[in-house]
Amino acid sequence: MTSMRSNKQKIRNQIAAGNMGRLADEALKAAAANHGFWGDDWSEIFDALRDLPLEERRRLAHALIERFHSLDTQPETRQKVLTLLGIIARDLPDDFFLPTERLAELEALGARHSFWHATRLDLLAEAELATGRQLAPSVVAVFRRTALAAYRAEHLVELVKKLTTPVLNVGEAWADHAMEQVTGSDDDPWHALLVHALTATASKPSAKWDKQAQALIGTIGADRVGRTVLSWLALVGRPRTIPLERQTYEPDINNGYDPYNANALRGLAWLLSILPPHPDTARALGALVETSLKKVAGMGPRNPKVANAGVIALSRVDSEAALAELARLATRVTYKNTAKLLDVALEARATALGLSREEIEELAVPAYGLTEVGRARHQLGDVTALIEIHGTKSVFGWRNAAGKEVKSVPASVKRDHADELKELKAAAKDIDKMLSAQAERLDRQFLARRTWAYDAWRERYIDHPLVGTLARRLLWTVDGRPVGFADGELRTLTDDPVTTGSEVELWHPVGREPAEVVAWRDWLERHEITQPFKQAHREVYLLTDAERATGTYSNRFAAHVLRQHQFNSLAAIRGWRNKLRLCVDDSAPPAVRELPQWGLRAEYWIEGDGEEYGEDTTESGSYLRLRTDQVRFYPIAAPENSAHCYGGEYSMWLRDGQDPVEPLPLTEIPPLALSEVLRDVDLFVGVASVGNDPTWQDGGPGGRFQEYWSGYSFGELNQSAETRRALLDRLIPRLAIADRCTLEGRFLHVKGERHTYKIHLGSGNILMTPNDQYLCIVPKSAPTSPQTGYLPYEGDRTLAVILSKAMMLAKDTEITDPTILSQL
Amino acid sequence: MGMVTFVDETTSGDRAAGWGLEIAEERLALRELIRRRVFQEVAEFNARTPEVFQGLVQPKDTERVLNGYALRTPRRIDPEAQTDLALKAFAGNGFLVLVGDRQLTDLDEEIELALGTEVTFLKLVALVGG
Repeated sequence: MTSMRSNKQKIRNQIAAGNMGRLADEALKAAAANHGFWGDDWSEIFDALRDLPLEERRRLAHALIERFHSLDTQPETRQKVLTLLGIIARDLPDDFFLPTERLAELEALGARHSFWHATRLDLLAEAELATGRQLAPSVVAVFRRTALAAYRAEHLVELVKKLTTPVLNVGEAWADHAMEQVTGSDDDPWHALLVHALTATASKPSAKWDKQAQALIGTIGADRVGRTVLSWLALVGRPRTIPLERQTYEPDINNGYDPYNANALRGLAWLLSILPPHPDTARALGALVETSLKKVAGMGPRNPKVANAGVIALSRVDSEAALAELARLATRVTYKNTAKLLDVALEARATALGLSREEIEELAVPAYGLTEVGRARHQLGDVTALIEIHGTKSVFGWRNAAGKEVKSVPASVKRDHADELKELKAAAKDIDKMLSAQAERLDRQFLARRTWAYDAWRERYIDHPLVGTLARRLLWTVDGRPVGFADGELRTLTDDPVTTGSEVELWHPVGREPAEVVAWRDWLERHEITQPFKQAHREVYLLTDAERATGTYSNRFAAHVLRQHQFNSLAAIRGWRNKLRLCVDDSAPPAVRELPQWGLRAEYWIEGDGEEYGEDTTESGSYLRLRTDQVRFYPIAAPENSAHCYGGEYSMWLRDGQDPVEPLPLTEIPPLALSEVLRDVDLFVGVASVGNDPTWQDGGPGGRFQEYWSGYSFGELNQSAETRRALLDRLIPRLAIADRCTLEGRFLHVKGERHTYKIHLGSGNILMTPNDQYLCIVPKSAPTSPQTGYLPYEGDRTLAVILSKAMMLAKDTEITDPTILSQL
Repeated sequence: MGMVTFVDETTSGDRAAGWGLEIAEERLALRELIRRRVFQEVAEFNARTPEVFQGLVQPKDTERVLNGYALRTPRRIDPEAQTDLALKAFAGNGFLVLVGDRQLTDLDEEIELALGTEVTFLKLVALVGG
């Protein structure tokens, strides 16, 4: 700052001396030192320069122009000359300001998303406007975007107020399209509508906003406004029509929304909610929410504000379609803020109807015109359209007047019933989306501990035209008796029909005899039922003796290396709360899943991995990888744990004299909750582990994950597992246990006396037949018995583990280790 | 009398070149075969006393290091004690032995040692429940 002070003094000296040539030099020198930051220090100088008499300003302008041409300097210096010229511009003739160069400078700016407000490029714009000319639309856009993001930049805000045309920023498909329909004159009601939409900067529309909107709708006609706005919204999220140049460290701006237009989008969403309800409205708003939450590199969700406006709008529409859309979004949206809004909206509806939140979600599932479970019949003239649900997809079928099946849409329908056909097709799309949302909702019911009264359950599940297609493929218990749906009836394992009952629950394999689990799998196969998600074949995770020994935590999924971003989205989908860890001095809670119905909170302890910026982090500084540690359970109200993002102990964050709360003993966790939580964690590891990435053969950065990588594999066998397989193929016939072993697919099957075991050739993990229970056996860390030496060419440890496991399990009656025995 | 080749086969897929051991008898119990191997290993070690012992089983009072076991203090290794350890390790599934194309499970089983018989040692891992 000392140099700034002395620079200032030098400038003042030259002003006093009236030496305009030296003044130009000193000003440029000072400008070169400011690295583009024309901060508050400069306001004094700006004022001094502006106050120079006309003649001196003229001489200064000449001097600057001379330097501009003679210096032949870098673009930044040229820009600084233009800025200084902008300051002294007042009542000097236009040709002093290098108008062509200034225009070029401004035009170049139009290719950017925004710029740093302190570079004072507004001075160029002001100078340009002072000539009576307009700025190009793309230039207007960049100034508007910058003004929205800039902090304490009144000069920009003032400038942007003068930039009233075009009404929206150019460059986005929907906005370009909307502006084509608007004349731009102030008496055009469409123009007024867009201007009004742009004022949607609050989180909710005010009564005043609504009233004005109503008036504008009145002048055009509700129907026309609805149709037109829907056609605009349909274009939201399309690739930009004017691609922007991405600067260093800038996020993927071309996939984000223009922040100026985003305000208009919010207004348009609000606008739709005060129009008469229509299925298309709910659909469009739902799509807007999802499109706005799509993630963009370096930015996160595209525009949560617009997404939230969509939710607010939906919650204001009193229609079945809107409620259904809210319920559907509630199962899909993972962005916390928006999810909360959805929750509030559904809760409000539930309260209004005197129902529970769960019930409102059940009742919100529309039938979409289906008249019986999974089927609908529509008469279009003399043609019959059939919609049938197969799996999680709807399928169209057509019958002509003679009742004969025809493959494609009959011409008469296309000609005479175009609108109905369009609506049917849209409904079919809604069905597909709703089916997958409902399958996800049902999958979450295991942990929701739901019970239903039999009659309500029949109506909302088994006999519901849409949900029934899923519910009829699941297993339930009626008054404790397991049943499935086959041949038009609920039936027990022995196919005896069950027609009445009082209390219904969703069946879960935990706590069931393996024989029963297997029997149900056979039953499903016999009745050719494909379940919408794993239920009879669901993996079961029981407490192991090692976990009984560690008491309050499980190490089963510790010491893995996970891809953070993949983990983060998976966790969100499975109802976990997690914070992306940045490589900065900050702390974060572990990944948490709250189980309010059980009064529990499950925690998966994680920490960021590595410290090399750019190598271990993304451009924006979030860790690429996480290391994993224990899984723990706490009472749901226990104070939050947190740890430093780059590792170290987790500790409890105690406020207002709170007492610390100990983790709960794993033995006290209900088996179903434990199993489902560990299943989630296994999924995270199974999917997000870097061990799955074949490009990591070199061990990743610095090779430091080599051992982890090679020791790990899930899913399809990678090359090293294939090698293992070839080796086993050769080795097994020579072993004493050869007659008990078979290699099948990805597994080595070992027949023991108690069970048959499947050892995964990639990871060495064991599943027990018949019910695919996970058998946890791990290498002993500090063996007490004499150890075999490391042979000089130590090879693949996983193969040694697989062989050792096979040897042990082939004689499972001889196992004495109680921690293993208890799992068999 | 014959030359028996010992191969420490592990799991990288490669096999070591193997090393030969002259054995005068034609038939030998597995227990004795293991003893001969261990004696030979220990004898070679004691002749040179390097810092790291590379052998079938870990000697007492050593630390595991890359490719072997480091002795805390330089010393000679007792072949008898080392044989005992090896036999215990065998009983506890520490390694398994293939003679020709057959795995031997009984220490007292007698092996026919034809010329060029290959004896393979395969290392296993101690396991516990997790």
